[in-house]
Amino acid sequence: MLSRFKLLYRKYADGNINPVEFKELRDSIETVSDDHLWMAMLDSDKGDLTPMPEDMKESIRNSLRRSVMRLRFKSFSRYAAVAAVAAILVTTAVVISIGTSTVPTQEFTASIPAGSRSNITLPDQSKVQLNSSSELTFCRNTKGERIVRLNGEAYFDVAKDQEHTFRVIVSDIEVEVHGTSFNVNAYDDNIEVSLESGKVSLGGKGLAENRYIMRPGEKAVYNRADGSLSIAKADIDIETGWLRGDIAFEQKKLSDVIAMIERRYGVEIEMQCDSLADDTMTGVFSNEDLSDVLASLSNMYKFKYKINKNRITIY
Amino acid sequence: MNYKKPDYTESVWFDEIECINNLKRGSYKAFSKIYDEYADCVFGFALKQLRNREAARDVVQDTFMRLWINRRVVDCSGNLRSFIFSIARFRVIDTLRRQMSEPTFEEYIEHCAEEPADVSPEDIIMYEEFLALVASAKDKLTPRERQIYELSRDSLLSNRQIAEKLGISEQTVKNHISSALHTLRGAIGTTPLIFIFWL
Repeated sequence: MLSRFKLLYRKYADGNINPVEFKELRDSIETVSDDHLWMAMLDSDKGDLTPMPEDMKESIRNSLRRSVMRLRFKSFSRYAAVAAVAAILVTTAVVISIGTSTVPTQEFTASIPAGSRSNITLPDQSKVQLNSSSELTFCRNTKGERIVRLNGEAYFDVAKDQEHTFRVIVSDIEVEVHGTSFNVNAYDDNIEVSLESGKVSLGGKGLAENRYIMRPGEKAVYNRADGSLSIAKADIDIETGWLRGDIAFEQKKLSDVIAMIERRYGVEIEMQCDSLADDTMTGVFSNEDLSDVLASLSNMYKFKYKINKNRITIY
Repeated sequence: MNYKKPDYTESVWFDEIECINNLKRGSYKAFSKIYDEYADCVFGFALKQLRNREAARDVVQDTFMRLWINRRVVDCSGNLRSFIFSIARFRVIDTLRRQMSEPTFEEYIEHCAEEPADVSPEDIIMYEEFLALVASAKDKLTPRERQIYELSRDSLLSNRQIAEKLGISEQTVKNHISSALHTLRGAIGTTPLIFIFWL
């Protein structure tokens, strides 16, 4: 019975079934199980399949892209909600005074242009991944403490050395490290430190009396303009997404996102629609081509854009 | 001063496992690569079962959309082709069952059976082409024939239901359908003589 079904099905799939046999097949299709029907289908595949016409392939590709972009922006609201709940302003913190002099004894500099990222190993064997448009210098002071100055963004995996403190100085705050991995983002007004593992403490002139010891999984956001420090839950995947080429942002203004895109791809973007600049958004672009990133934003904001070599105009 | 030139390391991947991992992390690029790799075989497979390019197109679009939505559960160790086929399975089976129960599909199969046996596989008419032929041939029907034919084929009403709806006898419905089919067959271009056996 089943083999009869298979035989009829094969005749049908090969296009040489007669009307009488077809009626028989149609009747048995109503009763046969999905599993048996599927087996008959797989059986009919003899590697002689017709490829999809190129224009059809392209049109499905485009409509998939539109749906994916729409779905993705929908899923962003999830991240936004987490960020809002987790943001807690810290007013008091552990107070430890600092006052170490930082006379350089040995200096090491690395600077990364826009559009690139880089892995470097510091002289003390600590591993650093530097994001685009970032600069880092490393030196030891007279006490042998390891001092890093950073502009931009970097992820640190610090070599263990109990004797010699590892400090990251960003503008007027310092991150003091106790053998650990963490991310520092200091591109704009906010300096963000996200701790993945180990222990770091935040201090420096900017925090004056309000030194803060971070716990793993926390993200500290220091505002250079008003000197405030807030602690939120870090989404390490978002904070360190750039290590994989992602552009991840949480509650960022479109103008900040545009700046991230400029750095990531080494392009200049001119925004001619100012009304959108302050719109905030949360989301991720996963190591995508610039053209996909732009298409996705333009789809969301309904703007148009022109690409002329490294200059992009949004209007 | 000790200056060290940074090494610019960019990750480049082409292999399937890496592609799946990136897909799971939500990479559109990886998704698009997988689409380019597997769209043809899903399409070819669906076309062979459905004999309908439009329906095969819908299967491909639906399958890849659901691959994206379910990207987090893709089993990395398994083979991607069978994962994609398991997504396509429901839609192909469902479409086939529905399509086969359409009266027009039976007419289509009969139409195919009358084609000369030596016609090459590329020239076999597809169901959606047949539907288009029927649609344009409908212009040749009288308004009454057309109304009854559409109630029967498109709305899937039985002859009795049509008779009740229009307040005419079941035999009249049969006569109209029979003459409509005769006209359509003539218009579609196969030898009308063979159709005499059909009813």
